[in-house]
Amino acid sequence: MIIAYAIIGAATLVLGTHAVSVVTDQSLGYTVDVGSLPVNGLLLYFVASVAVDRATKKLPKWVGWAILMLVLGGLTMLFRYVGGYRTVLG
Amino acid sequence: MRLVWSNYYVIAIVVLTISATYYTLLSVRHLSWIFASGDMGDWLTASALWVVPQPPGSPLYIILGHLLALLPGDLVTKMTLLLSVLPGAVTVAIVYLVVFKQTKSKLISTASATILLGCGVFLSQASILEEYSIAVMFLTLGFYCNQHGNRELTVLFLALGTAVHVVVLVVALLWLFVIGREEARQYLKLMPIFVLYGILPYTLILAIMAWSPDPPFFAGWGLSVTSVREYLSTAGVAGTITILDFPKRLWDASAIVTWSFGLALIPMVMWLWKTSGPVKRILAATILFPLWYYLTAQDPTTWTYLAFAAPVIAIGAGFGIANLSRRHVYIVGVVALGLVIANVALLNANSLDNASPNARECYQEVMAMPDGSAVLTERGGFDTFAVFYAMSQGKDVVPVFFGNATTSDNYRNYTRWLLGKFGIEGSNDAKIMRSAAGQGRPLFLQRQRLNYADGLGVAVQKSTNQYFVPVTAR
Repeated sequence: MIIAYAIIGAATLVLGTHAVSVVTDQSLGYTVDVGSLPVNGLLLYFVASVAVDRATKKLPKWVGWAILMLVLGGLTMLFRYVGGYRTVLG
Repeated sequence: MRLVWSNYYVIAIVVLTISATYYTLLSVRHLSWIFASGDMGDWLTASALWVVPQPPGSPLYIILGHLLALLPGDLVTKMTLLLSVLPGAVTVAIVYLVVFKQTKSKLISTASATILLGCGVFLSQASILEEYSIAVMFLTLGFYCNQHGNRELTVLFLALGTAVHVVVLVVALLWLFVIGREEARQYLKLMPIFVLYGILPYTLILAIMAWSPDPPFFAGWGLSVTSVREYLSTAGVAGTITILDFPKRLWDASAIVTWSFGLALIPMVMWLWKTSGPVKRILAATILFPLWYYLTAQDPTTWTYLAFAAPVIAIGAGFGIANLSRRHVYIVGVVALGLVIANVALLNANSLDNASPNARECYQEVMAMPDGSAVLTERGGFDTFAVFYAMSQGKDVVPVFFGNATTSDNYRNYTRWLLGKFGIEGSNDAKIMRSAAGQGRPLFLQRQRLNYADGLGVAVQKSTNQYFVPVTAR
């Protein structure tokens, strides 16, 4: 416990300067890298595949794969429509 | 002193008073961009004029702003003190009461309140004019009422929070999901209360769009399905950070969370780890959603969403140290007090803004423009909101927004407004600027978009302006 306190205490002191610089930043705008995969795309794909895998455990494997393809296709279309993923997935 | 310490409600009032004084002393009470408060210009404008604010609207916040605008005094000061500082202080007091109900320890409850008071993220939003502090207050009040078994008030406060900031709706849905089937069923019966106080207020935004205010400002002039979709899609930054940007964001988030909570993170994580049940799930959901949002949103200023997690982290830390020896209460409490003191120097909104008064400089540039000037700028952004604010204060300028002339309903509606009001016409930015120049209007271009000058057919003039540069038509 004391070791945990020491580590977090030291991290608070060391990272404090960086935290203050992040929250006090007044720059206008930010650059956006639209050329690579969004983190959330990976996260959602992972969650969807696990969910489909669990939901279709008692069914033949090909049914699970078919549903997974439909879910991923649906997500891709959703991303295209919503906007942020348009340049990445579409 | 003994009399104060003997009654926990008196202590809660003392906590509220100290917090209100602390936040007031550190608050900034003029136009500012400190702590990502660049939206301040938009909120002030939407509180002075019935215009469509940034999506998705925050109807209760702008209604309260309009009510405050009716009272005498400076609007920035009134909104900062009554819609940020006071709700922030109330939230600290509620944290005290929630932890006291669970632990029956005034010492642990006071330590939890101190943890929130020393939280940099929460302080930042309680000391500027922004919508977060009051939204977080409603969310925390909802949690307090849930702990007391009052479902009606829980739903009412979550609804009011939703009417201020739509994130509360997401958190409320998460609570419904994790709270347990039978409890969720009871809450669903109260849905009409939520719809009435949380969802219906958003029709105000549609009403303003349909009413076609003058000037139309940000977006949404003329109500249609397309214009509503365009309006909402401008907020589409959620979940769009890329793999390459992710490590830096993770580093930033670690720094902000560690600095904001210090040693309190340890008992909080231990409590979450060892406990089970709906309270743990509610707290975990309230922490994880804002954290996920910041970690995966394109916009680096979304660290402000971590303010939603701040009270429940302080509450979780209180529950955690209640399971440890008294020595741990002192260690965590003293470090929290150290953060309270350190933030007076490091996160003092007032002194930080005085050291870098960027927002006021931008505002002064707009106010110094000749009357009737046409300003070509993005529809959103800190500097554009300063233009809106200047206009709400009576400055005579014509805002011309960059827009997608071929596909946007809002853009077409906006150009119709320009034509009807000023006789300025054109089907794209370049033609609109030439038309404005033809009327003898001085032209200004947002400095961030100087690279567009050639495409617009304008020549950039020499100027020391930092935000809006004078240009002439070629």
